[in-house]
Amino acid sequence: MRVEGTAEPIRGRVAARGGALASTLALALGLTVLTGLSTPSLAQDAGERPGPKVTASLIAPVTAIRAGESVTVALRQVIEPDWHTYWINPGDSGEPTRLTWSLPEGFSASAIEWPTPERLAVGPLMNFGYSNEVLLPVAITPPATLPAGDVVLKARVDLLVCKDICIPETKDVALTLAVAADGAPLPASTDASRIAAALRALPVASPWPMGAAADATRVRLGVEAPGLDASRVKRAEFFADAWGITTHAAAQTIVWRTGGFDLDIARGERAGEQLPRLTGLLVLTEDIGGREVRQGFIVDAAASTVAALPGVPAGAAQADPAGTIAASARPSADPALSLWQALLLAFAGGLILNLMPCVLPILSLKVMALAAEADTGRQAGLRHGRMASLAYLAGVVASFTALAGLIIGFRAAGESIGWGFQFQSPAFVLAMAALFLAMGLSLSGVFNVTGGFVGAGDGLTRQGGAAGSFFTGVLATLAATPCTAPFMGAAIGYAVTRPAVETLLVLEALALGFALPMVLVASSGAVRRLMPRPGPWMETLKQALAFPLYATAAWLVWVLSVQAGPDGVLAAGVVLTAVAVAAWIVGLAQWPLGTRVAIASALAVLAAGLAVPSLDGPATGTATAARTGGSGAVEAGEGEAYSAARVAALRAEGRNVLVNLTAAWCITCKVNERVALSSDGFRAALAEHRTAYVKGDWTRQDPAISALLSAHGRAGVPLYLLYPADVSAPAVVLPQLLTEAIVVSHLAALPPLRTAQREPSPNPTPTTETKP
Amino acid sequence: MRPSLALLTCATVLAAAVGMAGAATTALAAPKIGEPAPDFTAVDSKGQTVKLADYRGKTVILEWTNEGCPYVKKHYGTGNMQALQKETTGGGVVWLTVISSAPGQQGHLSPAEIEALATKQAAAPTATLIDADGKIGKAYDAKTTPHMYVIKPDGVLAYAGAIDDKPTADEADVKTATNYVKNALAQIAAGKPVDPALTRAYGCSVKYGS
Repeated sequence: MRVEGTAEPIRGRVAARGGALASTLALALGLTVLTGLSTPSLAQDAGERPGPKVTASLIAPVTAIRAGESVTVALRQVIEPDWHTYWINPGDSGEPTRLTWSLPEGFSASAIEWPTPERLAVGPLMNFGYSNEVLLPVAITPPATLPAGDVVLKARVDLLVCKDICIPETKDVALTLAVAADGAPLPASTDASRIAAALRALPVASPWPMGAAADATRVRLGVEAPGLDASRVKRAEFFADAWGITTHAAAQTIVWRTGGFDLDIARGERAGEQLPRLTGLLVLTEDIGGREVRQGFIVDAAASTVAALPGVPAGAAQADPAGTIAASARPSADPALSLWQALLLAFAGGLILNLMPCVLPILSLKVMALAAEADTGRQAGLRHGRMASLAYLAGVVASFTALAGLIIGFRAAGESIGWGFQFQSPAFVLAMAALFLAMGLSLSGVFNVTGGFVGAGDGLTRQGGAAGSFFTGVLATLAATPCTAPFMGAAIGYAVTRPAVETLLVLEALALGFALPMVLVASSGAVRRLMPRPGPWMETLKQALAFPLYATAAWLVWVLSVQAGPDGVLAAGVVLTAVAVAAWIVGLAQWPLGTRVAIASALAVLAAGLAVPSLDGPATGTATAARTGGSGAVEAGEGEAYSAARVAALRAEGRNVLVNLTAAWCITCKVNERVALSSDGFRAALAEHRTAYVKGDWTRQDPAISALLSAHGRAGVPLYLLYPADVSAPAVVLPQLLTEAIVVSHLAALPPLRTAQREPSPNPTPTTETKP
Repeated sequence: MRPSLALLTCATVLAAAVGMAGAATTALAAPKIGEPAPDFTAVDSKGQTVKLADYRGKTVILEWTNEGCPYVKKHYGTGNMQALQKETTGGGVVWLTVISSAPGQQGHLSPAEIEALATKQAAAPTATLIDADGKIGKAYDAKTTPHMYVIKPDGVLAYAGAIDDKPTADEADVKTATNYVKNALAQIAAGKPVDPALTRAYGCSVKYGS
């Protein structure tokens, strides 16, 4: 146990009370003073450099003091990189710095005036404290009369300094000041400007009235700040100054409204108690001329207790400590929708979703099956078609209801999920690849699903036809999720942030829009009369339609390669081979059906069991490489990886920034990148308009990207944001289906750059055309 | 061919279920005073399986520890923690020391190292539980070492928080401190409500893996 071996006595108190100190201690008349030597090596970790992590000194702005005149001195801590000391509320662990003064007779010292802290995450826990360097100011007041000569201010410092491990350090600090004669100006010291800067940076009284309301789980700080320029506020953080008031590690949500904003915070351990006042600091980080300015405001707000706070509305941004509120993440950029607008958008989005490349092949099969039935007799076919369309509608509605249930359920559990989220799971992607391969093999004739899932064929019983149609609906919904149609993004974004009933309504509107075209085709005699007569061509077409399905499976394996690396591809190979073998066995007509299905099922389970464990673990390295390196999911290769800090830095350089939030499994994203975001014309337009291109890859879950999506009221990708270099201007949201012309016209519509351009534009053109 | 349709349906439902499960993650959840303490099963340093529910009928103390943490050393260096362990277990109380440090983090020890440390320190817990994945720690929202919990014989959480009222790493403070665990045990024995029942735990952060 290395610990006992290296530990020194906690404090060398006895040794410190040596004769050398006796004379100065005598100045401390009557004060019981405990002084000690620094104990730097108390809890040395084997891998740590020995020695103290904090260098502490007592500094003053002047070299002399005068009787009766207060002077603010400071304890200066210079902290080793990656180590931290603590604020008055240290957060989930830790201990604030303590000063024990030994002052000459008649002197008094104030409490520490705590500077604005930072949030410091430690695994799942959160600490509040300081890094690098901090000055802790204390006002020292001398007595009304002072004898001539020097005055020595002494203090013992007890502090805790932590990185992943913690070390308590105890130090003695002292400061000698001359006593100035009456009337003479106090001479400034070399530390004067350092202390002045520290005092200027201290938290100030809030210029805005504040109030608070709390229910059993949350507390909301309301700030009336009509003059505050919302577009400049990059972060808002609340620090409770006492334990148990807030959950320190919880993300805080900022909700902008007319005349101010609310900060929504999870309550802490003392959530069961009444909360009469909310006290602490509100810290705003503002972007002022491209420079981030962080200021703490003292919060002392009366709090009311309510039965339940209203929900956080759509468009609210995570006031995340990682800095994910973009300057433009304002409701003004994405005006909040009304329920009716969301329902209309969802319905229209559902209609258009039918045309998306992920859904069209499946629906083509169904249409073909209906054409086949049309031949069996017009009246019977039409009746059958109506029944099939109802079953299909039921399948779609049931799937969307299940999705709504999941969204509501996960939200109740504190998780946030959205459209297409299931494709973030490699296991789901692999299962979908297996499903598409199985469907393809069936169409190729390896095994015969007469009256089966796509209903391609004849001899359907009514029962089987209905089940087949229902399943087509389920399958179409599942296949649709990697696609986003125009209008859908805003509607789904609305749905995931609203109360459960509205979530359900919006998703059902989407389901109805999605199902409507198919229902019309299947149940309308007029439409059915337009269909070609069945014949041998149908078998040929059926076989041909297998190939889009193989292509889909191949694409899903590529998605896996991005998510789970080479191991994921191997797992896919194992599973897909097993699916092929199972399909072949099922197709062996000479064996009894039960035996074939049993063997095939056993194979499928075995393959899945072998493959799934290799999907999740070591893949992250590859996924991260793909995200940052831009080789896999980031196809065009030239986009930088997204971070809020990078976007801010680029804008500070005077560049516009085009942010593309994408995912390997999002077909709409891939199509847009192919069509609009990789051409020479696109690149030329970027250069011409001094615009940087940044990509955020959501192939796997990424909290920073989820936060940016939710800040714009979205629950899924794609999302295209164009940030003007002028940080006071909001981001422009581009449409979800892009062409080169759309992108170029948006770039051209950017306001002309005010700042001097550091590199000459290759083709300077006036950029004041109106937006398309 | 109905069976293959059924098979495909099953495969889809299964795929959806796997996908959903992958999307879920766990979060810190705080147990409440006066409500049943979360049950758990863990393996101790002797290789025995320990289940909280098996101790129903006895008072159980949970102690989060990390031998490298100065605040833990304060209580073991002075013999304060060991004395409390002996006093309580002697009176029929079950004392479970929990190590939630993840592998590679400070305080993570092998079973043999735990046994050797206990011998050296003359520690006397009923068992020392290895919680390397932090499941028990997160179920109890354990934040610091030490972090103390007292569970009444009926399985209800009676106290959560600091070991005493002197939140320092200073060994000299042990003598003058009011021990909250002792206080809770005395109040439970007297049939009185525990006060304080919830305090701020002080110390180093629990070294969770993530």
